[in-house]
Amino acid sequence: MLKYNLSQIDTISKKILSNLSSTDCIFLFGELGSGKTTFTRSLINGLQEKNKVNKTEVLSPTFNLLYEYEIKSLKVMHYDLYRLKAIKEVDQLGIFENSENALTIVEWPEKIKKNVENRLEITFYYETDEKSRKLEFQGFGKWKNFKLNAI
Amino acid sequence: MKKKLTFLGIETSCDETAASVVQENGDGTAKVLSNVVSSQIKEHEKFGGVVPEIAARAHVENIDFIIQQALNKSKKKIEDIDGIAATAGPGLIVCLNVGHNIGKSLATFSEKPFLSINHLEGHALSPGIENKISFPYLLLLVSGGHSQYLIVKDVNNYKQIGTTIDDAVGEAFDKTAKILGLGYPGGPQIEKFSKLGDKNSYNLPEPIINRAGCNLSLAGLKTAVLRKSKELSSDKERYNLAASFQETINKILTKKTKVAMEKFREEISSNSLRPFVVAGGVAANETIRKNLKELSKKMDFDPIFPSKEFCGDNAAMIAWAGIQRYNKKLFNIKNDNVRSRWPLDDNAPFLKGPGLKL
Repeated sequence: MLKYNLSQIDTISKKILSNLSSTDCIFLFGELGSGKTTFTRSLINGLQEKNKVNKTEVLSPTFNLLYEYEIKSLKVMHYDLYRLKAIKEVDQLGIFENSENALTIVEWPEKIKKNVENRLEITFYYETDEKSRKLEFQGFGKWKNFKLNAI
Repeated sequence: MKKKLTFLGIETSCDETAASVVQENGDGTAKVLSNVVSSQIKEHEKFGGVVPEIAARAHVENIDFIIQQALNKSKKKIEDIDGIAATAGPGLIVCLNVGHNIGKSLATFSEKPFLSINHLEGHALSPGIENKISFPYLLLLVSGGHSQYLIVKDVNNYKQIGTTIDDAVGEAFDKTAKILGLGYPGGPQIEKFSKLGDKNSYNLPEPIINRAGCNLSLAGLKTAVLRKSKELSSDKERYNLAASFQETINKILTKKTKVAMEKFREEISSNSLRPFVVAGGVAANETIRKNLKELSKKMDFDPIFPSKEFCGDNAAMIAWAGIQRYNKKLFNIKNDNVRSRWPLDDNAPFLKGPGLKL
């Protein structure tokens, strides 16, 4: 478990960003308001900065289900499956259909049944102090040995 | 005399499958000949009885029927239509493609002009359907997916002066209603249960209320509601929290709208009475309406709330935007592909999110 203050989110996302390749997949678990979109914003803005393109707003995709970002040749798909009720809706969304060319970030991924080989799962937890959160990482495939114990 | 154009509009950017036939009146307003939205069709009327769900397949199954209904109700045949307009973004690509492709195909085989429309432009121009409205005007667009302040200078000329930097207002209502177990859709439910509660019982955060211009931030408010909700022990307390949430949103929107009105005045350097339009699903909230009407009076704005049928997602606004773009020969050819994100104002300054200084 990694405890952090919300102001440290950029440091965390940068550490993850340096291990990212263009076809990775990140699943973000955690309650409403636990910091999933905030983390994604930091990651996408970090990628934009690294690739020297203008930063864009990164809004919650809850309503739209998906926002796509093109950062030079890198495509980022930011999903939010919060509103979906049935597993078949996930299938109809065509999620992972073009994932060979995209970095896929999914909030509320509980309904995904497909086994994605290289994926990093991050779970966000509340702390009693409202500006703090805890993170837990679980890696699969190339992320299997990923560790981030200290910032 | 110039012919009065009649357009077919198609909208499939998110949950709703919608089609509409709109005819211009020649005085800057329009006559909506039909306005069909999938969620409003009674189950037994529906072709195949498809239940609307969040997916492209629902659009595919509904779209033929919805377009046919729109044409039938308008008593027009496809030959009588002067052009076809379809939403090309922002929205869900797989959903947008359904309406956009069918619109394009229809236009091609019937040899009509086809226009790709920005969903946000549809909302921005929607007040003109019912009201003789002159540019420029101030627009607050508040829905489940969008929350922004725009100066509408003309067709195709928008300046974004504020936006949410995280959650949309409608999303905050829906999530709060869910946290409090008040049901869906969140806005009407919160409003209903707020009346049973005391709005002063909880002191909730008002993120960035006194800074960052007329930009909005609501994620922190949602998180605060979640934290407080864990301490609730009675229905009375739930209603109190709902009422406090509604009150906080009112305060934020009233304050930010005041800032937006001042920015509008600076931008257009005029003190004359100007329209202030509130569009999007959240515009239906009576308390927000009341507050914004009072504020408009004080600030010398004429408040306009488009009818409910043109507030939520609909295709009439898309057809109407199509007519206005066609009249100005603005064809959006470069944007002929659908787009997931498509801001109305590409020059709007980038805003950092919470946790970072604004």
